[in-house]
Amino acid sequence: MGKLNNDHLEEDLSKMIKNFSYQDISLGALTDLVSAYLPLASKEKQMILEETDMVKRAEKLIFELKFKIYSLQRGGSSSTLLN
Amino acid sequence: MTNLLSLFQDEILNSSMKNIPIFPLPGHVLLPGEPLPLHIFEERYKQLAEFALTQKRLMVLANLKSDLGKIGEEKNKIYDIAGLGRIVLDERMADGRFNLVLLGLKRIRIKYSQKPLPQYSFLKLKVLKMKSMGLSHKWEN
Repeated sequence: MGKLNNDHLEEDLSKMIKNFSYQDISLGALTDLVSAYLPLASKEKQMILEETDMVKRAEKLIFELKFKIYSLQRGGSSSTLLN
Repeated sequence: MTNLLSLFQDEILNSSMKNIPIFPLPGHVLLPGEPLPLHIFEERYKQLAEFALTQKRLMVLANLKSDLGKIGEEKNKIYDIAGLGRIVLDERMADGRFNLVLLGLKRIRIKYSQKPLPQYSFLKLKVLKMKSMGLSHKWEN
Protein backbone atom coordinates (compact mmCIF):
# COMPACT_ATOMS: atom_id res chain seq x y z
CA MET A 1 0.00 0.00 0.00
CA GLY A 2 1.55 3.30 -1.07
CA LYS A 3 2.16 6.40 0.97
CA LEU A 4 -0.72 8.86 1.01
CA ASN A 5 -0.26 12.12 -0.84
CA ASN A 6 -2.14 14.91 0.96
CA ASP A 7 -2.75 16.73 -2.31
CA HIS A 8 -4.68 13.79 -3.66
CA LEU A 9 -6.00 12.37 -0.40
CA GLU A 10 -9.52 11.70 -1.57
CA GLU A 11 -8.33 10.08 -4.76
CA ASP A 12 -5.77 7.97 -2.90
CA LEU A 13 -8.31 6.88 -0.30
CA SER A 14 -10.71 5.94 -3.06
CA LYS A 15 -8.02 3.78 -4.69
CA MET A 16 -7.22 2.17 -1.35
CA ILE A 17 -10.86 1.29 -0.77
CA LYS A 18 -11.23 -0.11 -4.28
CA ASN A 19 -8.13 -2.22 -3.79
CA PHE A 20 -9.29 -3.41 -0.40
CA SER A 21 -9.49 -7.15 -0.42
CA TYR A 22 -11.15 -9.68 1.81
CA GLN A 23 -7.79 -11.42 1.62
CA ASP A 24 -6.44 -8.71 3.90
CA ILE A 25 -9.07 -8.70 6.61
CA SER A 26 -12.45 -10.31 7.12
CA LEU A 27 -15.70 -8.45 7.48
CA GLY A 28 -15.90 -9.64 11.09
CA ALA A 29 -12.45 -8.39 11.97
CA LEU A 30 -13.06 -5.10 10.18
CA THR A 31 -16.31 -4.63 12.11
CA ASP A 32 -14.51 -5.32 15.36
CA LEU A 33 -11.77 -2.83 14.56
CA VAL A 34 -14.17 -0.04 13.62
CA SER A 35 -16.31 -0.75 16.70
CA ALA A 36 -13.24 -0.63 18.91
CA TYR A 37 -12.47 2.92 17.87
CA LEU A 38 -16.02 4.26 17.93
CA PRO A 39 -17.27 5.97 21.10
CA LEU A 40 -19.82 3.26 21.81
CA ALA A 41 -21.41 2.67 25.21
CA SER A 42 -20.21 -0.54 26.84
CA LYS A 43 -23.66 -2.11 26.51
CA GLU A 44 -23.60 -1.68 22.74
CA LYS A 45 -20.00 -2.78 22.50
CA GLN A 46 -20.89 -5.89 24.49
CA MET A 47 -23.70 -6.64 22.00
CA ILE A 48 -21.25 -6.40 19.12
CA LEU A 49 -18.86 -8.68 20.99
CA GLU A 50 -21.63 -11.23 21.53
CA GLU A 51 -22.73 -11.35 17.89
CA THR A 52 -21.04 -14.33 16.28
CA ASP A 53 -22.66 -13.84 12.88
CA MET A 54 -20.35 -11.41 11.13
CA VAL A 55 -23.00 -10.07 8.77
CA LYS A 56 -25.39 -9.31 11.62
CA ARG A 57 -22.49 -7.77 13.53
CA ALA A 58 -21.69 -5.52 10.59
CA GLU A 59 -25.35 -4.56 10.31
CA LYS A 60 -25.41 -3.54 13.97
CA LEU A 61 -22.34 -1.41 13.43
CA ILE A 62 -23.82 0.21 10.31
CA PHE A 63 -26.97 1.01 12.31
CA GLU A 64 -24.82 2.66 14.98
CA LEU A 65 -22.90 4.65 12.38
CA LYS A 66 -26.07 5.82 10.67
CA PHE A 67 -27.56 6.92 13.98
CA LYS A 68 -24.42 8.81 14.95
CA ILE A 69 -24.32 10.57 11.59
CA TYR A 70 -28.01 11.43 11.90
CA SER A 71 -27.52 12.77 15.44
CA LEU A 72 -24.51 14.85 14.48
CA GLN A 73 -26.37 16.33 11.51
CA ARG A 74 -29.19 17.32 13.88
CA GLY A 75 -26.66 18.78 16.31
CA GLY A 76 -27.81 16.51 19.10
CA SER A 77 -26.29 13.74 21.14
CA SER A 78 -24.88 10.77 19.25
CA SER A 79 -25.85 8.39 22.04
CA THR A 80 -26.66 4.96 20.80
CA LEU A 81 -30.07 3.48 20.07
CA LEU A 82 -28.93 -0.10 19.57
CA ASN A 83 -30.90 -2.51 21.71
CA MET B 1 9.11 -6.82 17.16
CA THR B 2 6.33 -9.37 17.52
CA ASN B 3 4.54 -10.23 14.32
CA LEU B 4 0.99 -8.96 14.86
CA LEU B 5 -0.60 -11.77 12.90
CA SER B 6 1.18 -14.38 14.99
CA LEU B 7 -0.63 -13.05 18.04
CA PHE B 8 -3.90 -14.17 16.47
CA GLN B 9 -2.69 -17.47 15.10
CA ASP B 10 -1.23 -18.86 18.28
CA GLU B 11 -2.23 -22.50 18.48
CA ILE B 12 -3.31 -22.01 22.06
CA LEU B 13 -6.15 -19.88 20.79
CA ASN B 14 -7.63 -22.69 18.74
CA SER B 15 -8.83 -24.90 21.54
CA SER B 16 -10.46 -24.85 24.92
CA MET B 17 -8.29 -23.21 27.51
CA LYS B 18 -8.00 -23.43 31.23
CA ASN B 19 -6.46 -21.31 33.93
CA ILE B 20 -6.75 -18.02 32.15
CA PRO B 21 -7.07 -15.23 34.69
CA ILE B 22 -10.03 -12.93 34.42
CA PHE B 23 -10.00 -9.20 34.90
CA PRO B 24 -13.57 -7.98 35.53
CA LEU B 25 -13.76 -4.36 34.53
CA PRO B 26 -17.10 -2.54 34.72
CA GLY B 27 -18.01 -0.64 31.60
CA HIS B 28 -15.23 -2.04 29.44
CA VAL B 29 -15.35 -4.49 26.55
CA LEU B 30 -12.33 -5.85 24.73
CA LEU B 31 -12.92 -6.52 21.04
CA PRO B 32 -10.54 -8.53 18.87
CA GLY B 33 -7.86 -6.25 17.47
CA GLU B 34 -8.42 -3.58 20.07
CA PRO B 35 -5.51 -2.36 22.19
CA LEU B 36 -6.60 -1.46 25.72
CA PRO B 37 -4.24 0.39 28.06
CA LEU B 38 -4.64 -0.64 31.70
CA HIS B 39 -3.23 0.78 34.90
CA ILE B 40 -3.20 -1.96 37.52
CA PHE B 41 -2.96 -0.73 41.09
CA GLU B 42 -5.20 -2.97 43.20
CA GLU B 43 -3.35 -5.75 45.00
CA ARG B 44 -5.38 -8.68 43.71
CA TYR B 45 -5.07 -7.44 40.14
CA LYS B 46 -1.37 -6.82 40.53
CA GLN B 47 -1.19 -10.54 41.37
CA LEU B 48 -3.32 -11.27 38.34
CA ALA B 49 -1.01 -9.29 36.08
CA GLU B 50 2.00 -11.01 37.59
CA PHE B 51 0.44 -14.41 36.92
CA ALA B 52 -0.63 -13.54 33.39
CA LEU B 53 2.84 -12.33 32.48
CA THR B 54 4.25 -15.73 33.39
CA GLN B 55 1.49 -17.69 31.62
CA LYS B 56 1.63 -16.85 27.91
CA ARG B 57 0.56 -13.31 28.77
CA LEU B 58 -3.11 -14.14 28.28
CA MET B 59 -5.92 -12.50 30.20
CA VAL B 60 -9.68 -12.30 29.86
CA LEU B 61 -11.30 -8.91 30.21
CA ALA B 62 -14.94 -9.29 31.18
CA ASN B 63 -17.58 -6.62 31.44
CA LEU B 64 -20.03 -6.64 34.35
CA LYS B 65 -23.78 -6.73 33.86
CA SER B 66 -24.13 -3.67 36.05
CA ASP B 67 -21.77 -0.81 36.69
CA LEU B 68 -23.12 -0.41 40.18
CA GLY B 69 -22.26 -2.26 43.36
CA LYS B 70 -19.32 -4.46 44.17
CA ILE B 71 -17.74 -7.16 42.06
CA GLY B 72 -19.07 -10.53 43.18
CA GLU B 73 -22.54 -9.36 44.07
CA GLU B 74 -25.34 -11.28 42.41
CA LYS B 75 -26.39 -8.38 40.20
CA ASN B 76 -22.83 -7.87 39.09
CA LYS B 77 -22.15 -11.18 37.44
CA ILE B 78 -19.86 -10.97 34.49
CA TYR B 79 -21.12 -11.47 30.95
CA ASP B 80 -20.63 -15.00 29.59
CA ILE B 81 -19.05 -13.64 26.41
CA ALA B 82 -15.85 -11.77 27.01
CA GLY B 83 -12.63 -10.74 25.30
CA LEU B 84 -9.46 -12.77 25.47
CA GLY B 85 -6.37 -10.62 25.15
CA ARG B 86 -2.63 -10.83 25.24
CA ILE B 87 -0.44 -8.41 27.13
CA VAL B 88 1.69 -6.89 24.37
CA LEU B 89 3.30 -4.16 26.45
CA ASP B 90 4.04 -4.14 30.14
CA GLU B 91 5.72 -1.76 32.52
CA ARG B 92 6.27 -2.70 36.13
CA MET B 93 6.55 0.30 38.45
CA ALA B 94 8.70 0.47 41.57
CA ASP B 95 5.71 0.20 43.90
CA GLY B 96 4.36 -2.91 42.16
CA ARG B 97 1.76 -1.24 39.99
CA PHE B 98 1.58 -2.15 36.32
CA ASN B 99 0.93 -0.31 33.13
CA LEU B 100 -0.21 -2.79 30.52
CA VAL B 101 -1.50 -2.78 27.00
CA LEU B 102 -3.88 -5.66 26.42
CA LEU B 103 -4.53 -6.52 22.78
CA GLY B 104 -7.86 -8.20 22.06
CA LEU B 105 -7.43 -11.57 20.33
CA LYS B 106 -10.67 -13.52 20.40
CA ARG B 107 -14.19 -13.47 21.73
CA ILE B 108 -14.67 -16.34 24.12
CA ARG B 109 -17.48 -17.99 26.07
CA ILE B 110 -16.83 -18.52 29.73
CA LYS B 111 -17.90 -22.01 30.68
CA TYR B 112 -18.25 -21.33 34.36
CA SER B 113 -17.94 -18.18 36.33
CA GLN B 114 -21.06 -18.08 38.44
CA LYS B 115 -19.31 -18.39 41.76
CA PRO B 116 -18.53 -15.17 43.59
CA LEU B 117 -15.26 -13.93 42.22
CA PRO B 118 -12.26 -14.71 44.45
CA GLN B 119 -9.03 -12.73 44.51
CA TYR B 120 -8.93 -13.22 40.83
CA SER B 121 -10.68 -16.02 39.02
CA PHE B 122 -9.28 -18.63 36.73
CA LEU B 123 -11.58 -19.55 33.95
CA LYS B 124 -12.26 -22.43 31.73
CA LEU B 125 -13.24 -20.95 28.43
CA LYS B 126 -13.92 -21.76 24.83
CA VAL B 127 -13.07 -19.72 21.77
CA LEU B 128 -16.25 -18.95 19.85
CA LYS B 129 -16.57 -20.12 16.28
CA MET B 130 -17.79 -17.40 13.99
CA LYS B 131 -20.45 -17.75 11.37
CA SER B 132 -18.82 -16.50 8.23
CA MET B 133 -19.93 -15.94 4.66
CA GLY B 134 -18.07 -18.98 3.41
CA LEU B 135 -14.89 -17.06 2.72
CA SER B 136 -11.53 -18.18 3.88
CA HIS B 137 -9.65 -15.60 5.87
CA LYS B 138 -6.24 -15.50 7.38
CA TRP B 139 -7.44 -13.37 10.24
CA GLU B 140 -10.83 -14.48 11.40
CA ASN B 141 -12.56 -13.31 14.50
